[in-house]
Amino acid sequence: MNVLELDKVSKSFAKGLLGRKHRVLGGLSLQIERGEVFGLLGHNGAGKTTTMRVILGLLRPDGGEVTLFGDRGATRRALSRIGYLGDETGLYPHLNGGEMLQFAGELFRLAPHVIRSRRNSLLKAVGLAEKREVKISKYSKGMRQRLGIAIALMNDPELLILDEPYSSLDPVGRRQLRKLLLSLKQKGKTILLSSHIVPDVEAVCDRVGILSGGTIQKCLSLKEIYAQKTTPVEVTVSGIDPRPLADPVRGVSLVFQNPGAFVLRCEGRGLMKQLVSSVYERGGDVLEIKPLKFSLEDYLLETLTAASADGADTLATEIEELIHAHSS
Amino acid sequence: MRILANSPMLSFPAMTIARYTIKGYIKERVLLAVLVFGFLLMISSYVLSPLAVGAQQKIIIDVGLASVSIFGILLVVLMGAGSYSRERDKGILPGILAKPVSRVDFVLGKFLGTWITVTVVTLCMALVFSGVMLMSRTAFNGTIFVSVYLSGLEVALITAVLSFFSSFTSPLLSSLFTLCVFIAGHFSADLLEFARHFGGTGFKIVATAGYFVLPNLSLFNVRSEAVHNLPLMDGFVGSVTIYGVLYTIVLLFLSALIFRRKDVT
Repeated sequence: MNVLELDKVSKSFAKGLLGRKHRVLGGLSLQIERGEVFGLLGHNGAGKTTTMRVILGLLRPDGGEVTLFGDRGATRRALSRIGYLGDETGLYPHLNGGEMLQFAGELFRLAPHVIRSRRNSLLKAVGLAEKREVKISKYSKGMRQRLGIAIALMNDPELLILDEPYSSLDPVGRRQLRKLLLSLKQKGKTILLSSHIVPDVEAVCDRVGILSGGTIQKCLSLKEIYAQKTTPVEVTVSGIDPRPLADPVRGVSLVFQNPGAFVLRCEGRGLMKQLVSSVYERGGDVLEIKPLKFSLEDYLLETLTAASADGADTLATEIEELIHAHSS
Repeated sequence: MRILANSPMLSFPAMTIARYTIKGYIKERVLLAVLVFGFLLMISSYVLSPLAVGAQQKIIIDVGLASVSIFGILLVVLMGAGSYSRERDKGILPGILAKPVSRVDFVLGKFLGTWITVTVVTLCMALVFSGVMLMSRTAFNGTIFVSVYLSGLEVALITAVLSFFSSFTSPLLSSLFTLCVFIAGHFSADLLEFARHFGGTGFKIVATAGYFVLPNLSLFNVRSEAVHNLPLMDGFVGSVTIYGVLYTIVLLFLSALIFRRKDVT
């Protein structure tokens, strides 16, 4: 069952009162299943925050439909089952950590004893138990982010929407958050998160969507991504000059050389076998064969580069057509 | 005020927002500054009143009631607009509205928080005013209490005006527009009268439109009657109360209507 569905959602913003509309989302469709951890990736300004705000009803979409827990749009019923951490943590500086959680709990209409127990356990979970009486204005950025995470968990949400949750966290905080998200995943919570720190997304997500040009360019599970790509292998060779074996067209390239050794990179198992036998046939030695791990970051960059190249091609064609129409 | 801010009775989303709005105001320096200034003005009326031979008591009542009214309005304009903008600028608003809190709850909560705070301050000033009256042995009359009550009602209406403007403009503009409505609202009836006698057609139309659109705030001003201990017309307080409450409700309804359609970024 889908917890969240976006169907051809579009959103534009006008620049100034009479300014032209700038399209951020153009027919974005997405489904997230119960218990899934979904990562939303994309460059700055791709529309990740806008997507999240449209889901939560903070922004009104120009077109399309948002379905949350079977309800059309962000109803009160749906919102009571969602925890949200925005790109700005949005905390009252005059309150302390405990009071801020109390405020969130009251807005969720939780019973006083539930608020009390969750407030204490969450402050402990995010490492702020000892700072609960300290005013938020005295908190560091990282501490505010931790408190924001605690607030997002205050209603024990079924769906957690986290916009850049790793930002402002130090390496220890990042690791703690990763652990927390993995434990929530084990409990069957559904999570939608966006982040620029791709390895952190890779560590917790089941599926990722790459947002560019206002739509999801690619939406695949991590398993599918890894299965789709042939893993590159680096072969270190000595005893011969293997430069004649390098053939970028075939997928074999020389990446490094020193007086004693050469490192060749090839794509896929078949090419590697051919390369290794060629080296032995020529009387050389293979010192090391090292498979390079294909990361989500590589996939993201590949997809975004392809998307921007498509965009540039389309623009070039449009300009050409315009010039042609003008001259004729 | 602290008791109100921590009262568990206020537990609906709008009430929760109102309570935390009050907590925010308690920390505001402007609240203290306006309060101190208001007290000083009232006490100075006691010190300086002997200079107005034969009219000491009238001056004490006039200055006291004017302080209660004007400093209340000033507080609404100075604190209220800042409070609304802070929620937006510091990214607090998306965090609140991403919870099961409707935009109507938010508008109502901010209104109640501001109104309750200013009403409590108005009551404190009224207490100091009573102290000044006792010290100067000025006689109390019923219209003085009516005047304080109507000031509280006027504060509610002006808070609703601020809430209306805050739903679609910047804090500076909403403060400015609210002040303009306050000033124009006190003179709209006089302006209409002036236009009827001396104005051209265009001026008459503008003055008439202004009279009907803007709140008639002169209705909430019974200082002159209080100073001279004049009786009020039968049913006057009731009808002004209905007028003030209805106007406030309409403005809050419009604020919520506009705010519901706004994108929260």
